[in-house]
Amino acid sequence: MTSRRHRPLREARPVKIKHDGEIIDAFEGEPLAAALMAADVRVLSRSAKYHRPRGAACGSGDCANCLVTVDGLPNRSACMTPCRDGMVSESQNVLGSAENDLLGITDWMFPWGLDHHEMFTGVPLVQPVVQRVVRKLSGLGVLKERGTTQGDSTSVRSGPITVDVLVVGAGTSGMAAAEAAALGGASVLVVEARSITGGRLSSGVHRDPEETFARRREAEQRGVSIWTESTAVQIDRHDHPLEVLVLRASGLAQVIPRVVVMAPGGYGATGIFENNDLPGVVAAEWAGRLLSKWGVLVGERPLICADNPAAETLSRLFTEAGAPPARVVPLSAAFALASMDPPPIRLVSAKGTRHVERAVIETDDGRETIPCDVIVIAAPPAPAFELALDAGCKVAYEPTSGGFAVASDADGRTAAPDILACGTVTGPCSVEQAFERGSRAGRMAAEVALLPENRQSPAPESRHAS
Amino acid sequence: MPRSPRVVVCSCEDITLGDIESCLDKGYRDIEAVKRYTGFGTGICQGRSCLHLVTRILVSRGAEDHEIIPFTPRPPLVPVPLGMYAELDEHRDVSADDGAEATEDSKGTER
Repeated sequence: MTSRRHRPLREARPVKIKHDGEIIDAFEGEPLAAALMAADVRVLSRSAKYHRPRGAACGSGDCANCLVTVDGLPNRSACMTPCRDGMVSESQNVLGSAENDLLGITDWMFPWGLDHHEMFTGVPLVQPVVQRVVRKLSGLGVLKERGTTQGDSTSVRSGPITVDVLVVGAGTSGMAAAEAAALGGASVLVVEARSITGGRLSSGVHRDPEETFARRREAEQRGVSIWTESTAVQIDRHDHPLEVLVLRASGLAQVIPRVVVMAPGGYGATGIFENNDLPGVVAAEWAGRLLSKWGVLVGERPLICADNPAAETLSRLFTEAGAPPARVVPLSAAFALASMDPPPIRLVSAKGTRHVERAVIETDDGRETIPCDVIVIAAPPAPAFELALDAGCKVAYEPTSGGFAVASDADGRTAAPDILACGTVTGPCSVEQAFERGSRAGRMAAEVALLPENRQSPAPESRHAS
Repeated sequence: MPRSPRVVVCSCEDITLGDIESCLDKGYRDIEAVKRYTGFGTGICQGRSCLHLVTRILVSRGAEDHEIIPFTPRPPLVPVPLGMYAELDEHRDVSADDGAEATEDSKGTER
């Protein structure tokens, strides 16, 4: 088995995990998808409908491409699941193996696609039969009768946590906000979905100002609690003015903040072209994080789809790792199919049976096939607006990413008085802007949280009912 | 045999650019209608990886402002085992059937 481990992780403890029955060497705490990539396991699962091969693509738990069953629990993102000694994972949705899935024929049997609106709908007797076949072929299968939850749930029993300011996301703006809020006298909790803080700076794709780490140390010294591997999944206003549920390995934690600073960043995109879901089409931050944080080289002949400065940084990262780019093309090439005016260079297709082997690009002079084993795409992240919208913020279309950004003023104030927002969730921003807006939102958060009317314990109305 | 290219815009549900285009041809042009017709955004990611791709496509095909409104996000943001919600409720000791008194008791212990 080829190893894609570019350098060992000296700081981490070596562990053994099992994937589809094979023992694999890994490091404790690294994402499962990184360990599997290091062991050259590139196809992690198959897609629901056409059983197309899939592998880790976004690296931030935001797409469905690396879902595996981990210790009996299905639909876990391999890119967000940290390795533990003895962990057992299995590829999902396969008949045979992920590499050779017999149901992969579905992709070939329906060359023009499967439109469920036109599958014998309304034809008596035929419809139920066809439906049964389709249901058998597609979907993610039947859940085991008894699922398992990871870990124990003792920490859940510790009860709700009240805090002045909850910061969602420990990236550049989130950490700046946490520090500023703590400086303003507020008690602060930061929740971060990844196992590491630093957001985009941890990918090595963006410049890494010394300041980030200085700020983090500063924040920790000021008593800011930071929970990693903790995802804010829900925000309610039923029993308390604000209540946030945070998913942790041990269970759901209930956090009752006075103010929430939304700094969850955004979602990576991997372009709109033929076979854009093939294993080996990856978001730049995932490729960068694999290399700079986990020592894993995602490919030896990368086709880089990026604009400067990301294009230069990625080229340098790969070249330094002994894998100079096969070609660098502008980012617009990956989105040619969704452009008003076709860009001069267009990425038409990724080719390969189970993972990327070639890419086809097109110019006005014709088509060219470029041998490559990975296509790295540095697209602007689409703001992660969902929780903020749920909490009463307003969003607006953001054309550079195609996503929706949370509307906020320079101090991070949104349409909801107890929700502030900063960083990528409010639209594209540089690292410097993220610092600046994060700090301002943090100061404002402390100010709002410590207002006399917010200082009173939130009294549920139900107390005096009936 | 010719194939329609697999340009995947929603990887949870294997929805392709072709599916979106045939949906537009039928006259479903806004995000909500396209979601309901194709099923994009209804998989495990709940739109996190596909909404912005579909929106880009709709905008490039001339969608107007009122057609570009995101569908309502529904919690939880990522899949959560139901058992974890059950554990949470066990701890809270609050359920829809409990009266105000029970609510008051449990609130009292929370502080």
